[in-house]
Amino acid sequence: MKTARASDTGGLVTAVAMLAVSGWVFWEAEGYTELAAVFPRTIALVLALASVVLIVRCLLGRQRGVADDGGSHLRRGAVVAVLAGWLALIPVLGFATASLAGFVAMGATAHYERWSIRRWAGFMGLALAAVAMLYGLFSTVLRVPFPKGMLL
Amino acid sequence: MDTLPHLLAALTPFNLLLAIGGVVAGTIIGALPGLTATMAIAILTPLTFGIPPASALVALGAIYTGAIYGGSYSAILINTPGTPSAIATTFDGYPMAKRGDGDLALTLANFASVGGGLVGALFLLLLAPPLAQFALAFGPVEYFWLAMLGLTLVSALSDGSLLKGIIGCCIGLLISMSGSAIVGGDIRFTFDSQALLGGVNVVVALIGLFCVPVLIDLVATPDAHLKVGSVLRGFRLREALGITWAGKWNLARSSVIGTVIGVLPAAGGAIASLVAYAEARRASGTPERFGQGEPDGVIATESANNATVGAGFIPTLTLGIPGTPPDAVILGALLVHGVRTGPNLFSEQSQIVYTFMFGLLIATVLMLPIGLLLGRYAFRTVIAVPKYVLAPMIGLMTILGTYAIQNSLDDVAVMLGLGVGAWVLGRAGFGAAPIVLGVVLGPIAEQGFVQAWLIGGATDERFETFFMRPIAATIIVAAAIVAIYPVLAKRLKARVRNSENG
Repeated sequence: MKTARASDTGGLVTAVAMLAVSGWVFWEAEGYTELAAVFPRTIALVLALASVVLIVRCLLGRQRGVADDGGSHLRRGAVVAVLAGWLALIPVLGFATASLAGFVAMGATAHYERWSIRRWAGFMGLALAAVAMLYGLFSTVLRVPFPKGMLL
Repeated sequence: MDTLPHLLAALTPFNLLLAIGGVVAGTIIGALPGLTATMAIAILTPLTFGIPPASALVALGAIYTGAIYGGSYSAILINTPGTPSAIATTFDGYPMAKRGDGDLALTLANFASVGGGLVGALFLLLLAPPLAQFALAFGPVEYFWLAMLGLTLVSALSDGSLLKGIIGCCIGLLISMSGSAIVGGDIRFTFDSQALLGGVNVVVALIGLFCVPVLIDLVATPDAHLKVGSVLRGFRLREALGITWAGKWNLARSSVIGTVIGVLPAAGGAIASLVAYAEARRASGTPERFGQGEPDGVIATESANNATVGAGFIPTLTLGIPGTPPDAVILGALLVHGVRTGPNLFSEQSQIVYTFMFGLLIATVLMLPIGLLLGRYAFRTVIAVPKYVLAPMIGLMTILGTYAIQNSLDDVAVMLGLGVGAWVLGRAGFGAAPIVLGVVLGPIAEQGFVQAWLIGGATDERFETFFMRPIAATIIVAAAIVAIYPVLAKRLKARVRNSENG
């Protein structure tokens, strides 16, 4: 469970970034027609005001941060890398093959014990079955056209 | 109306079979993130072309109601709404599942969905024409204030910091503005990318903002995904019945809110459930428990979103204006079947329309046993599956579901980008829920705001346009109460406690 931390560095950094975003929105809205610009400007104004108040509260030490709730950052990073790699491989290998590779990589990332041969074989069978079933369902029943790539 | 012949026509074995099949198919499709009720109906509509129109309508109504209900499964078990209507179900459903009450949350969602669905269907059966006239009284200003009423929920969803909630909501609103402007047509905030020309699809954003952060944190520890007691407690029917009975006014109020909002063209289940959630929190004696796993939150959202199913058919059948996207697909199917919607439908083709209405009621009742059984199976699957299988399954569904929305890999990239961004913001204390609130309500708020601005400018009565119309003024008062009441109640309680302590 997350607990409150004394200083809110994350809140401060985000608020500064959001202040910059609101400035960028104002600048972008200059090039829009009046009808298209009125709503973004209004929201950017609210965003800027809220960000300034949050910055002030953070600097005065009146804003409590969120403590790290533990866990492996390496594995978290690996999940993002696996998802990005999965997406990048789809046009190259094809949706089904890339999904099989992504499924196996994600399973390996989430596994904490030693892989026995039996467990590994079972997992591979399940990965094949899951990808084949869902790919088949979407491509044949739901008529979703998947990118083919080098394989399938 | 001769009730008995229409009821008997709906109760034929063939119609019952279609209703059961429709509810099962709809629930399963609705439970899968990325596959919406609209998609379920669109895919299965051609299968109804060879059967009589009344039976086809029964099947489509059953699929629709099942899909809206099915969205609660993934909302409760993996914090990812299966359909946009189930967004607010994540607020309390997932915390309930995390603390070991997932089975109870699923049963409550079932009871509430059936209750709300019945209320919506009964309103359709008994009060369709006057409610359709009410829907016509809603103009851009009323839609704008309705969206504002939904946005007041940000105070309820800001876990710890209202400022961070407001900032998150603004981020969501800005995301909703990317692409072609709703009024004016300017291309905005696309970073010169063709992928963003059409804007960010709501379902794509939902999957990214809710699902990806869960996936990232899921693998960080070897602990079980959901807390489970040493003994499985089955459906927990008695407990759920007690909670539902205690929350009967909440269920009734949320169902009526769902019905009223469901009647409004283009409003839909997402807004209905958000407004019902806000109202349930306001009316509760313990508003601070909302967002922490409060059963009344699940009851409010699930009853409201299923009430929109029957209610959405009111403008569809009486005016030919679809209340929600699934209604638009069903309207198309009706035309193919030779059913002409409009004021004369109830006199000229009463057999079809009343058989359908009773069919919808029957399908909603059938959802009770079917939903309980499917929910139990889904719960057991999610708690029994080890993380090294659950994580890749969620990853596969996330990518597959997002791609299938518009057959676009760009959508998958947008989903991943939003998801990783939401996870980073979450580390700094900015929750995903306020961002989603902005994404969902942004287009309605902007369209209503700009159109009302134009109308007010043309008549030189901007203030009167925004604040003096009766329905708009009523919604403004409701929004103000929803936003201010919890703060006032909290202060009042603190003052009473202080005076009691001397």
